[in-house]
Order: sequence, then structure tokens, then C-alpha cells
Amino acid sequence: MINALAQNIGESIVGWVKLQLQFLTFLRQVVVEFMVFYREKQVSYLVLLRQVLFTGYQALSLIVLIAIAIGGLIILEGYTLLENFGQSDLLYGILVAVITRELSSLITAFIIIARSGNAIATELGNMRVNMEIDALKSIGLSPISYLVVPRTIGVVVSLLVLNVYFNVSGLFGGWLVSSWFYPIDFNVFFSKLLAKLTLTDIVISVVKSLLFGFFIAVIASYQGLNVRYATTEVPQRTILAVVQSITVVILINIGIALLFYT
Amino acid sequence: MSTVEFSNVSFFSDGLAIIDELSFILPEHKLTAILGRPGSGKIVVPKLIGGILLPSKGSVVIDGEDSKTTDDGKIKQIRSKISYIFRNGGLISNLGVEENIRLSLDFHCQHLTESEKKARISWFLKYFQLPETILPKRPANLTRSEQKLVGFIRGMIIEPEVVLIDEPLENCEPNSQRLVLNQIMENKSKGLTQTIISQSLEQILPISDFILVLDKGKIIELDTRENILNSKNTITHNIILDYYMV
Amino acid sequence: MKFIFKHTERIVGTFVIAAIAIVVIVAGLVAINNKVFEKKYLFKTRFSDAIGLTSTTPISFKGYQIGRITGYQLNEENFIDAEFEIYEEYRNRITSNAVLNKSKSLLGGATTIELIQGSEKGEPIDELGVVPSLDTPEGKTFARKNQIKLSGDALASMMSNLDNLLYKLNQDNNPDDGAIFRTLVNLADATEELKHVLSSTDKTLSEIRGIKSSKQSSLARVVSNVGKLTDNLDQTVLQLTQTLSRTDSVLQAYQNPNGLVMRMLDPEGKDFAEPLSQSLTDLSESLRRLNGLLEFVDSQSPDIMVLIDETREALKHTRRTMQGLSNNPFLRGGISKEPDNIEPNGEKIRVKLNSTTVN
Repeated sequence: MINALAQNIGESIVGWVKLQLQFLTFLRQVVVEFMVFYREKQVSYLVLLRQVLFTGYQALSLIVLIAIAIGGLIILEGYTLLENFGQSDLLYGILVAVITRELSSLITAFIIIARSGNAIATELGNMRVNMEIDALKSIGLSPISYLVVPRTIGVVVSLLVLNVYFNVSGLFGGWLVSSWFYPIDFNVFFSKLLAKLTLTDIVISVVKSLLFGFFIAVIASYQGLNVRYATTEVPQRTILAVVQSITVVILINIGIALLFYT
Repeated sequence: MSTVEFSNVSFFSDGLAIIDELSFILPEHKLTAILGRPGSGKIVVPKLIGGILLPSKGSVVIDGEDSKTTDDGKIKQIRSKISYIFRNGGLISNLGVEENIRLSLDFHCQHLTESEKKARISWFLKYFQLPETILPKRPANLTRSEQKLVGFIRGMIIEPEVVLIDEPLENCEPNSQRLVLNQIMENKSKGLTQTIISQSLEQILPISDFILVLDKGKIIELDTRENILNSKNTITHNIILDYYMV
Repeated sequence: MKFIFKHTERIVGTFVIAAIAIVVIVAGLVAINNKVFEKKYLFKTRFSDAIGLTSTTPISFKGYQIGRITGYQLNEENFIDAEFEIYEEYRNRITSNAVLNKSKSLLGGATTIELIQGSEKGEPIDELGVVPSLDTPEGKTFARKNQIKLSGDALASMMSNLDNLLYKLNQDNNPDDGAIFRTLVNLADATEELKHVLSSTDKTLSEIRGIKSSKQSSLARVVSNVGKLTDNLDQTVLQLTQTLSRTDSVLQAYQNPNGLVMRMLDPEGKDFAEPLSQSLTDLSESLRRLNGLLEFVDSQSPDIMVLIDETREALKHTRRTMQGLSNNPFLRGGISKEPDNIEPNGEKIRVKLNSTTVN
């Protein structure tokens, strides 16, 4: 029985390692194809445009709404509390730390996982089942070059752009909302906010968006292309893509925080 | 003209050998019908030629180039000479008809101007009696016959040297079948190398020049139509009989 | 949806370009605000510890941020060698008589570094020069020499004063430090003396109690005799009180000018009135002497104070009675003289006491 257990455990570990190696191989191919993407741009350009449209533009209203809500809430709650200690100026540091450094890239990533990560895995899975991937191969188009790379670029660009809009909406939209309850002069607000914002914050926010976008798209594509036999596999792979993307995003976030802020 | 050579090619799937050490040269400028029972590997052979699958062992050499090459330029060069026509058209579902056609046209015919490309598309639409209004439509909005014809257009528009056709007449209305057969005959007259897999032998056999008989992943016979039909080989005989029994 | 696909390029282009523009503008503003493009000058300093230091701790002068710390490390002497940069605009504030003051706010916990200049005007130092810090011994010496005054925050100043006050309160013999301390020193001294007095008194009382129970010592005999004496005095006073009471009633009778008894008993006043008057005079004299004795005794023992007070009262009453008698028309002999000095009598009593007790 112990032998059987040991064997099972061994097989599980070996299986897990093989899966990770497969993913790393896929990742390597994606990175390589990234470099030569410009060669196929006349074919993949349309895919890229459509990806940015779907992932970025069509998520804009949701992002703005959430950002304004969060920004307004932070200002309302923070101002009430800090004013009691005469430390209302700390609010600007809190806004920068919470919105710019953390929430903007994180919440945008989660929204993109829910919308686009899901969609990419489903789409590619269905393409696999319908032999559309084979059709691309027969034409001579690398599925990674034609499907994965433009989607990855599209998701990365979308996440970067949405991150910017999240910050703008969160910081200034929040000011707008809170003005109904605690009027703060805009010039004062802006100058104090600017004093707290550093280039490091902006750079870190951009780096996070890049990494989040890249891994969300790659993981979703990998899971979608790994559908083998039937359409019933598609939702299973989609769920796996979402869960893995969330895990990786959080781990990257923690890693960057440890690297830059400790 | 492209030569296609199989050299000890084996292909495994889930540990099973679908084809086992195949070695042959595809007859050039000829139409070769591939016959075999289910699981014989008759679908794998054209896929190996078409680059959809890569051999597990051995090599498929096309015009002196191994199909397993990783050189993008060589891959593109090989693929520009070979078209695979899928049984259901093989169209990309989130692209329109025109976009599907342009997928191969833009990739392989970058030397053509935009107007030349448009002219070519128009010519083929006329040939296959499809209206221009079909161009913006998505594959889901087409009939199966239309999907197959668009698949044909996508394959033929790049003027390949080798055409691999999987079930050209399946789920096709009679008019479409006639158009497909006309295209195949025209390809023959142009001297293209073609392979066909089809269940309706009575339609394919008369136009075939060669027949490749496969069974359990091995070549039974590769010979002219006359020789195969007169073959004394029991397996060949039984396989042909199976086709006529359907 | 068709509109969107038709204008995909335009929509996506606007979407992306607007975001890029925002990033560029904000990054530019932040860079200008953080003086990224401004030339900076590097200087060095030394701190006693790195608590609260970060690689971006700002350096301020009169409330303006003029630079920031760029790096720091622990040296061989266990001090912190730090480098800081100063913006070009404020470069001339780093003078030869300037110091850095690292302080931690008690409320927010944030560390601030402030540049403080001495009262004299100083020359700007060269780049990579050393600016001393107030939390090192050299810095403190430097500050004293250049008369550098700390502004400090209110809370820190208050804590410092409190600390000083507590220190002085714990000191002694510092009446010159202020009214509070003078009062405290005097109070301390007075209470010490009182304690000493109380201790002595307690000791004395204990001795007296001891003496009273002992029959050997002369003092014990004195105390015992005084006790007996006061007992005798008590009896004498009682008799006197009774005599005076009778006398008073006699005098009331004598006050009646129509007292035929007196005219009848002693018409010339020689047989009764004159001897009575003399008696009364002698009695008065005795009472004066007794008063003197009692006062002497009073001075020797507090135990008979009450008795003496009562005796005095009785004596007063007697004197009044005597005056009444003297002023009686039948016995008028003039206003009595002032009592003599009791001292000689007291001296006699003292001598007598000494002679009876010393043995």
C-alpha cells in the first residue's frame, strides 16, 4: 500500500513537473514569436486591433465606474478619519499608495481575467475543436504567431491603458465624488497629490500592468490550445485559465511589492 | 513542381502507431486517391504532407525540404506550394469570408497589389458561383456547401502546386459537387499534384490516376487505378469492396 | 457593434493615444515636481543611527524641501555615513556653519532632516563636503561653537522642558533655580527641623515618663514633690475659694450703708473693722505670693497648667473681693497697692525645692 501511495505521489509530481515544462516550452515559443511578430503584422494586425477593442475599450466604462467608486470611498472615509487628528494631508499618500501602487493594476487585471482571459481560453479551445488551428497550420501560419502573440500584445496594451484610466478616474473622479461631502479645492488637491506621486510609483504601476497582461494572455492561450478532443473540455480549461491567472497575478504583485517597497 | 517523399515515416498518437514506417513518393502531377479502412492512417498521410501534423519518426520531404524544419522562411515557402482543403471548409469562425480568403492570400501573395488580390477573389467567387455579398458574412451564416466552396477558394487562390482534398463532395448539394469536380479536373489539366480522400468512390475513381491503399498504418499498394482495380491483393480487393458496399 | 468594427482603428487609436498622453503629461509633471531634470549636488554627513532613514528621506530648510538622502551605510566606527543631494536652486544654503538635525516626529513617526544654519553668515562648501549632524558629538560641538538654535517642534520642546523640570525636581539644595525649588528646599529644611524637634520632644517625654516611674533620681523627686505641691495647692485653692465665698457674702452685707449691725458692734471700727482690714490686707499679700508660686510652678511643669489656670481665676476673684472690701465705706483704707514682684518669692521657693530634693 505504501508502495502504491509512493508511486501515486511520484506520478503526480512527475506529471506536475511535465505540465510546468510544457508551459515553459510554450512560454518560450511565445517570447520567440514576439520578436518576429512584426513580420506577420499584415495578417495579425487585425487580430491585435480587435483584441484591444474588446479587452480595452469595451471594459473602459466598468473600469471607470469601479475606480470612481473606490477613489471616492477612500477620500470620504480617509478624510473623515484623518481630519479628527488634523492629519488630512496623509490622505494623498494613502491615495497614491492604494490606488496608483496597488489597486489600479490589480483590479484592472482581475476584470481583464474575468472578461478576456475567459474569452481567449474559450475561443482558442473552440478553434481547436473545430480544426481552425489546423487550418492555420495548413496555411503556414503559426497559431502562436497568429493567435497568441496579437492577443497577448492586445491584452498587455489594454491593461496598460485601462490602468491609466483607472488612476485618472480613481484619483480625480474620487475627488469629484467627495466634493459633494467635503469640498477640497482642486488646485490644492492636485498639487498635494502630485507632491506624493513619484516616478517610481508610475514605473512600478506600468511594470505590473505589463507583467499581469502578459501572463493573463499566455496562460489563457495555453489552456485554450491544450483542448484536445471535445467541446466539453473547453469550460474546464477556461476555469483553469482563470484560476491560474489570478494566482500568478497575486504572486507577481507580492513579488514586486517585496522588491520595491522593502 | 513539388515532389513529396515519405521516408520511414511513423506517426504515434497516445502511444499508438497510426502509421508505421511509411516510405513512398507521391506521384507528381497526378491525382492520387487514398483508400483505407477507418484507422488505417489515410487522413494522417495528407495531414503530414499539409504540415498539420509532424512525423514522430522519419521525415516528409517536400521539394528537398524536411517538413519538420523550424526555419520560418522555409516553412512559408513549403506551405505556399501546398493547400489543404478541409472537409468542412476549415474557415476561421470569427473572420468573415473575405478575411478567411485573405488569410492565405495576404500571407503567401504579398507580391500582388490590392487590386490584383481583389480581382482574384472576384474571379473565384464567379467560378464557384458565389455572390459578392457573401464576402462580409461569417462562416456560421453560410451553408455547408458555401463553407466548402469558400474553403476551396482559400486553398486555390494562392495557386498551389500540391492540393490535398479531404472529402470534397461530402454534404455538398449537387451543383456544388459539380463545381468542385470541375475544379479538380482543372487542377489535373494544370498538372497539379492532388490527393483525395473520399467515401464516394464511384465519383472519385474515374478521375483518379493513382490509388494509395493503406491498412493498419502500412502501405498495401500504390499503383495506377487500373492496376489497383485489377489487383490480386486480397486486402486491396476487400477494401475496394467495402467502398462499394457503402 | 457594426459601427465599432467599422471604426475599430479609430476607436482603438484614440483610446490608446489618450492614455499615452495622460501618462506623458503626468510623468512630466511628477518629474518637474521631483526635480528630476534639475542638477543636484552631492554632500556627505554622518549620523549616530539610521533609525527612520530611507534612501529618499527629504532634507528641508525652513520648511522647503531642498534635497534628499541618496544612500547610507554603517562604517567601521559604528556611525552611519550618508550621502545626500541638494537641488541646484538651494546649493548655496549648504554653508560652512550649517548642520543637519535628524528628528523623529512623535505623532506620525516620520523622520525628517532639517538643515540649520548658524547665526553668522557662512560660505557655501564644496560639493562632496561634509555637513555635520546634530546627533553626533562633533555636530553638537559644532552647533555650540556656531550658536545654532534648534527650532524643534512644539511637542519635542515641551517634552524637553518637562524632562528638565523633572531633573531639577529630583535635585536638592537648588533654591537658586526658581521660586518652586526655593519653596521646596525651605519646606524640606523646615520639615526636617520639625522632625528633629518632634524626635527630641518625643525622647524627652519618654525620659520624663521614665523619670516619673523612677524613685532614685533627684529629678524624679522634683517631679514627685511638684506633684505633691500641686496637690497641696489644689487643696489650698479650694479653701481659699470657700473663704472668699464667705468673705463675699460678708462684704455684701457690709455694702449696705444702713448696716446697723456694724454700727452697733463696732462704732469706732477698732475692735472689728481694723483687724479685719488688716487680715484682709495680709490675705491679699499671701495671695500675691501664692500667685507668684503658682506662676513659678507653672513655668516648671506643664502638667499643672489647668490647675494653675483655675487658681488664677480664683485669685482674680479674691482680688476683686479684696478690692470690694477695701472700698467698703466702713473699711475704706484706700486703693490697694500693686502686687510686688514675685521673683524673690519664686527664688525662695526654688531654693527651698532645691534644698529638699537635691539630697
